[in-house]
Amino acid sequence: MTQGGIEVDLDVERFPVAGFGAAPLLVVDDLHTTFTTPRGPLRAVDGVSFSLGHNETLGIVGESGSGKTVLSRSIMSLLPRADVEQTGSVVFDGREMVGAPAKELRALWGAKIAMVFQDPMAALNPVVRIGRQITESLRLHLDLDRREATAQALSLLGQVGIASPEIRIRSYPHQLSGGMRQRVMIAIALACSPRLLLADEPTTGLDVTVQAQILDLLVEMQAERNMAVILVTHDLGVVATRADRIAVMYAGRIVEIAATERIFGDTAMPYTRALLESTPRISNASHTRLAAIDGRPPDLSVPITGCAFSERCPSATERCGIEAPPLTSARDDPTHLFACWNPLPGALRVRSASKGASS
Amino acid sequence: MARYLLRRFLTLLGILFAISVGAFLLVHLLPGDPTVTILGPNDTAHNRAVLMAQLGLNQPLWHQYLTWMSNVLQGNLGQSFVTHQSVSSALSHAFPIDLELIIMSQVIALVIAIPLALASARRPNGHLDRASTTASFALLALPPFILVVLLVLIFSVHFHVFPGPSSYVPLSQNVVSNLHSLALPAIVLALGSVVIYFRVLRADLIATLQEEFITVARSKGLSDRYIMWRHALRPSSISLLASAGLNISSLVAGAFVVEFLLAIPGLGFELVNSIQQVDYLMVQGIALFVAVVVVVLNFILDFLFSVIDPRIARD
Amino acid sequence: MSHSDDALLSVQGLEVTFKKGRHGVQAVSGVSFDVFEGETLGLVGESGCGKTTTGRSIMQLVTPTGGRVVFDGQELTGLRRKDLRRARTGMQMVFQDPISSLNPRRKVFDIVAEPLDIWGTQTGAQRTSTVRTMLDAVGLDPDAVSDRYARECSGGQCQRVSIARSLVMRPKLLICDEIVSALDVSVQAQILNLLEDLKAQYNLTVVFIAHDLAVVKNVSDRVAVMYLGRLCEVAPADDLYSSPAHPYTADLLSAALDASPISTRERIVLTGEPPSAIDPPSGCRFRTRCPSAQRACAEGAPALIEIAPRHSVACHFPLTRSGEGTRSST
Repeated sequence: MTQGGIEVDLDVERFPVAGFGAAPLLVVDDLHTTFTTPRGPLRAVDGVSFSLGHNETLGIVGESGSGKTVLSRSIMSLLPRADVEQTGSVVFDGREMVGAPAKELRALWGAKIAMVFQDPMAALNPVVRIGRQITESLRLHLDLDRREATAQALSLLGQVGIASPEIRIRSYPHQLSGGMRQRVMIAIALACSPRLLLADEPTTGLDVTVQAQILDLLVEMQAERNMAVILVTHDLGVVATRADRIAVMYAGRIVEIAATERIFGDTAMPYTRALLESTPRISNASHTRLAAIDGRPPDLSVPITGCAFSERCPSATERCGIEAPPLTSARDDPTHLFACWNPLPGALRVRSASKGASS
Repeated sequence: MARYLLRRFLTLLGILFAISVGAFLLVHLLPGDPTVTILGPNDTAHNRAVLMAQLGLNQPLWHQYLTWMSNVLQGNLGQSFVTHQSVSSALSHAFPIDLELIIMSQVIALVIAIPLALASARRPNGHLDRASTTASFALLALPPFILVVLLVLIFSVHFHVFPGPSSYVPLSQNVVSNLHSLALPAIVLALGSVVIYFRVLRADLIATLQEEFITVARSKGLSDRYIMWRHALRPSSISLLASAGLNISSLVAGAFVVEFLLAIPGLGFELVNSIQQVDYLMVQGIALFVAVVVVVLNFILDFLFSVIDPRIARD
Repeated sequence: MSHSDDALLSVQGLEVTFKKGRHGVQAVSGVSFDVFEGETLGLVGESGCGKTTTGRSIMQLVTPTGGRVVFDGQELTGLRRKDLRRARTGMQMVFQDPISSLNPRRKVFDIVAEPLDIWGTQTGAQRTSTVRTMLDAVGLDPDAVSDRYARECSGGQCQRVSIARSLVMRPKLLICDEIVSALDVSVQAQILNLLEDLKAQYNLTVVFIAHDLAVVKNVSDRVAVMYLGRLCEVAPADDLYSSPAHPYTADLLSAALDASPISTRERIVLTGEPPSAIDPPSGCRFRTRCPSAQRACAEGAPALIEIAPRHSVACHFPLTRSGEGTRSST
């Protein structure tokens, strides 16, 4: 693979993308999630569209405040409805999730769509034994009796690599180490063999060696279970070798989405490149100057005109501050979408200004 | 675990010793002379002195205390100067009434407070939450001795739903009438506790519902009701338990006041009579017994903390 | 490790034991290293390895239970409070959480001026000019931020203010404890670049403590790896990352995630998690997770030995320079 946006050979067929072959598992179309705050509406997710194939892994990368966590919860319709307005469409397995009755959603949650949360200490109920935290969804969704559910929970604990599950099943979360807690969290999420797993920063608080173990476990579980995974993270390193496609978020929008190799090797959006070049790498010599971008992400409670990145963008023009660029596909790769008026060299791949709702 | 219990037990003994001294001194500092109560105001000074010597009241205070304690430790709380009934027998008659009254009131309080708090916490500032919060403020302003008069006027005098004062029926006589006769005082006591339990539990539940593990529970597809009862209630019960502990002594005091006002022959009723008659041993005995009960109950509650929340270490 | 006279900071046999119940937990057990004038020493390891405690005991914020800390020719351990305070002006510490380490109700200018006020070294116009110079040096506009409260600043801005405060007394040594781990990637890069600039501008010596291997490599001249309270390996950054000699360093590097889709490195994934510091393994503390552990490892703790110029390792069976050790990797 070459640097600087020079076109490379890429096997598009390896990446199951909506519109190609089988119907996608998940189609998100123009999703908006707005919080009502005392300071006015906060557009945490501002018109996101993408689709996800069965058995595909999509990495969603962004800095804090980019809306990636809110997006993952919006996909599940998990946000409390009281102070949140959600518009657009999320079609999961042929069913519309946005505005669906709570009862319908609850039948999907934990059964067909499950989530792994960032901080397993906070995500596990401190006063409930590990066993029941796993068995309760088994008993609810699979209608197992207590004994069957316990047997299933033991087997799940074994599958996620917990030693002596028959002891651990009776433990409370505080009696486990951080890595074990996250394994338990994964066991809970996988309990009913979901079709889609949303993992929100699943390894952020963990040590380097444990982080690698947990990510490997997720990959292994996905391969075994034929499920789709959305891996939400701030760390490009987490998704670099584990995602089929990567979506980069900035200020509540997807600014670039493409196959992983293209995101790294054929970057089109200046923000993506800034993110890549400001990340320190082990492969670089020490004291390598990082290409830092000045400033910080915009305040989402203030309406944004034009491209949200334009103020920090080295290649911004007058147009960028006025008119928001739509997601546009690259000329040589219809699955590579980016939102930029002045894409990086190699930008001549722009084919046409498609709406970009379906990738 | 054993070490923890042992240490707690030793602390408990220390507290009980302090209480016994306190109860003893308190009673002996009361104004009045028991010989006047027993012999009447017109007897001779000589007879009084003889009686004082008989009762051991001419001994120095520390000596009287040691005599009393050594008897207490052998299970002998002494005899009433006035009725000659043994103090332990009086306690064994009166205490079950208090116990029943307090248990009834706490059951009523929790049965009202827990579901109300669960329902209010689900929608803070909703209609139900506002109504119950306002009502609880109103109740806070009413102490039991006013509340009991009010409720007697309404339910006994006006509607005849509950019997009025002096209508206590022992449990051994008729269970239904007994419960009926204690219902009103139990409700009076319960209302005071409901306010506390509701407010404390509601506040903790609202905080707990913000926790990530509640979102996780929702993401499993569990119903709201299941989440409230099985995931939110227990971690929110710590302050409830703490307030129950703090509430015990005022509950006992409230029970005494209500018993006295409604002429229910419980400990409170006995205590007030004994104080009026300067019945030293009776007052000492009741005070010591009540203090022991309160301390032991707190000891049990303390232990319950670690049952409710396994993270609370026992060492 | 031999003590060199030109070291600005020399840590010798440092031990820190915390009381936990009736047990003593040894967070740092016999750590020795020198930091030379003008260099950056990275201190890296997983949580609980004692890197933060080491940093704090250099500052004497945690009192060492054994060993010596010699800074600028003066031994700090056992120094009286007054003398210690004076000695400490020559070394400053910047902490992980930029927001909670600043008082939210104080103005940025006053926060930065605080050390000057405490020591009364500068007053009036001189004080104002020093603070403004410092704010400017850390990339903040003095006119814009001086009157702002700390609570109104973003994480990155707070960290800049913290750095400005730590530099206002012109220290020789700066101890940075996870200063970028709470920051976003783009802000993290700004702070790391800033640190490099300030180091050159003010001739600073830096001890940089972090868990992120890539971040540590980026700023460090030499890197020290810690595991369960002990040093495993100390080497120039590029050497350590290209040819780790300690199996733990190798495993740590192998587990690290790099922001690159092509992984050329072979993967060795450690199983399990570090054992408890309350009851550490005998001998080499890494032996319970080490793929090449042998009997000798349980019997005696390996000493830190120089195996190449400036490259020291504490291992009975260090990996060879070619990267092919006495063990096989999966």
